[in-house]
Amino acid sequence: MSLNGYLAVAALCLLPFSPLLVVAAPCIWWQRRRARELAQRDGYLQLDATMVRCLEACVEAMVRPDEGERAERAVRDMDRYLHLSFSSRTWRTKALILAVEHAPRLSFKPAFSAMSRDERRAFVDARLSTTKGIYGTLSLLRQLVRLGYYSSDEAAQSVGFVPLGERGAQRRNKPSPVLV
Amino acid sequence: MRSRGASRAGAETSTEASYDVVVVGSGAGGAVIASELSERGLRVLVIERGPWVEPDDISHDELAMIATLYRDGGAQTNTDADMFVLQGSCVGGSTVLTNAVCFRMPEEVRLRFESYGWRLSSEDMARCSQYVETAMSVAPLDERLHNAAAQRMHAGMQKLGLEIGRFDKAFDRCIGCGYCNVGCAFGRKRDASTVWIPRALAAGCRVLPRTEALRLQHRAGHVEALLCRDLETGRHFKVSAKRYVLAAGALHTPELLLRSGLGGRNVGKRTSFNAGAIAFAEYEEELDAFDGDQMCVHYFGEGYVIEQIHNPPMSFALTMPGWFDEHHAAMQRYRKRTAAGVLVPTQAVGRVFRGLGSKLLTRWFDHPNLAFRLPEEDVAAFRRGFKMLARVFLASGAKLVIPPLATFTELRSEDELYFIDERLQEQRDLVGFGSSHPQGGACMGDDPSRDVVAPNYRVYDADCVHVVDASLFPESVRVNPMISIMAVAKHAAESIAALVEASPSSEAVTTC
Repeated sequence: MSLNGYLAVAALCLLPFSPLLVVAAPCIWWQRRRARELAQRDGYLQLDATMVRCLEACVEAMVRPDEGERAERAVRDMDRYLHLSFSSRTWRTKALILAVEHAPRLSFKPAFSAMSRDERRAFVDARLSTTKGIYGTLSLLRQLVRLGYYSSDEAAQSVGFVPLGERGAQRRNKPSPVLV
Repeated sequence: MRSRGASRAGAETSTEASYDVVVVGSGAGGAVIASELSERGLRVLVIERGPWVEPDDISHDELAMIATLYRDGGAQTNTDADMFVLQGSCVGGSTVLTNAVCFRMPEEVRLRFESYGWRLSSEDMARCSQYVETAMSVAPLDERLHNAAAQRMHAGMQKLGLEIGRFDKAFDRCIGCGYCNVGCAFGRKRDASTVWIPRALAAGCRVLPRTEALRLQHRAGHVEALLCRDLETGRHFKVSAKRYVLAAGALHTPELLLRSGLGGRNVGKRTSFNAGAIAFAEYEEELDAFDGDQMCVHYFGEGYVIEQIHNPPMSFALTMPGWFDEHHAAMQRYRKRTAAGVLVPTQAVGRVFRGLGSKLLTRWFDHPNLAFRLPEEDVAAFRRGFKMLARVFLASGAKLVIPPLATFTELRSEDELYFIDERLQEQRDLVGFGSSHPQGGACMGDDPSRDVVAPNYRVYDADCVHVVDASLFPESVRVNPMISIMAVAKHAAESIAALVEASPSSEAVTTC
């Protein structure tokens, strides 16, 4: 089934609960608005506080568990990416982030960002490290996380990448940007 | 970049004027036809959804460039979200983001197209290809720009007795920075924005960047105007012309026809791709393959092409298989690793359509839907391709090869190649599967019951709408298609110019 198909099924599943949703809507709206304000106060342009927490947890679970500061910078870069990309699909990416954050609740576990590191890894391993079924679509998040994590100059240099301007000695006989 | 495009030289926001030709899209097809028609003295307007970027706007900040220059920030997928379709969204279109690889349309492909009714003779194709190659300064890639991984692959291919292909490229004194796919920050790449658009502007063409073509307004196929939206201000406006040329790419040209209710029931059908995925190899010593041109050598196999490619760290990380510490540790060996892609010309089984969402909730679903699943025959070509690629890597001295499989796999010898047969059974078994070369969807041919566009590039059921981009191709062109599209656009310009010049001047305003 397509991603939009899954969204449609999710909407249909929620239909029987619509009276409940009507009652809960103001609370959800207030919570979303509060999360948005908190994130904006911290300089985020697209993400809200819930998404920021979820993505930081994703970085720790999917890439590197012991680098809090770098996780925060990665999330800021993901926010920058979402802000710069001129796309009608941005809302879908945000919906995927919230889906990952709340998916563990379906099996009566805490939200993804509230799980312990080992629980998160187990969840990612069991659910997201696949390309098949609904969780295959959620694994698109993996790309966003890697994009944020490896986009900084520091991350590039940490893997041994040498920027063009610093390649002087190792450029062998390649043309120089200055000479040509 | 977001706020600048519309005020660039040559652009205008006034839409009072009418034109001889309005071109939607400024990529390989749109830019060439705009340039050719403008140079014949016609009044041409180009509508482009993306921003206007010049070398000064381009940096090596991969994240920002991908977000800004690629359609949907590089996150355009099929409906199953297991295939990425990368397309440029800027003045110059995807040509700004290519590796400047130039192949002529293979003669056997042209003959196949001729069997669909194309009126593009071998001589015409050679003449048009020569014309665009001269303009683009196409030349064999300077061997000094070959990166270390290319030299290794070259040795591996030689050892296996394969015929090694070297790329012809459209460069102007390239320095081999290795960042072709985010545009050239040094202005050394010859693309639509640096070759054809300046020629068009010099001849009086006008370009509207950050403007979206929404719909062709027509009465029974008589197009009266093109409805557009200024993406900076949200303002809607109309432009009118004698002729409308759609060159928005193989997903968006069919979508625009679908939105407009033109083209009949075959619009969007028979979409094909040069689709691919990337395999990785690790060597004992540090190669530093990031220093040099990204793509240097290739090999044509049975139903596939192997193209060597080495990406900067972020794109490298995005395409490399693996999870958790395994992926992180692999990235720490970036200097020892390199990559190559297997490209398969797929069968034309894809379909572009407008889903219920894009009809009812345009704010959230404002994009074409693409249904595509690799047929078994193409999956088999991928298996053959990745096995050959693994052999090349191993023959070149790689200590391990990582094919792009969902089940993480490391191959250390030819005895382990059977893993590829076992673990690659369908499209979803490929990690990072995608294409930068979508084709078809508004196929040209001489059968109105099968095709959308007549052999004179005119849409069958619209008397003044033409299509000039890769969506014309009834089958995959099998090689990187930039030169093929440009050559076809040059050919189309000749016939469209004749039609416009034959139109009485009184038709210049709103009628066809």
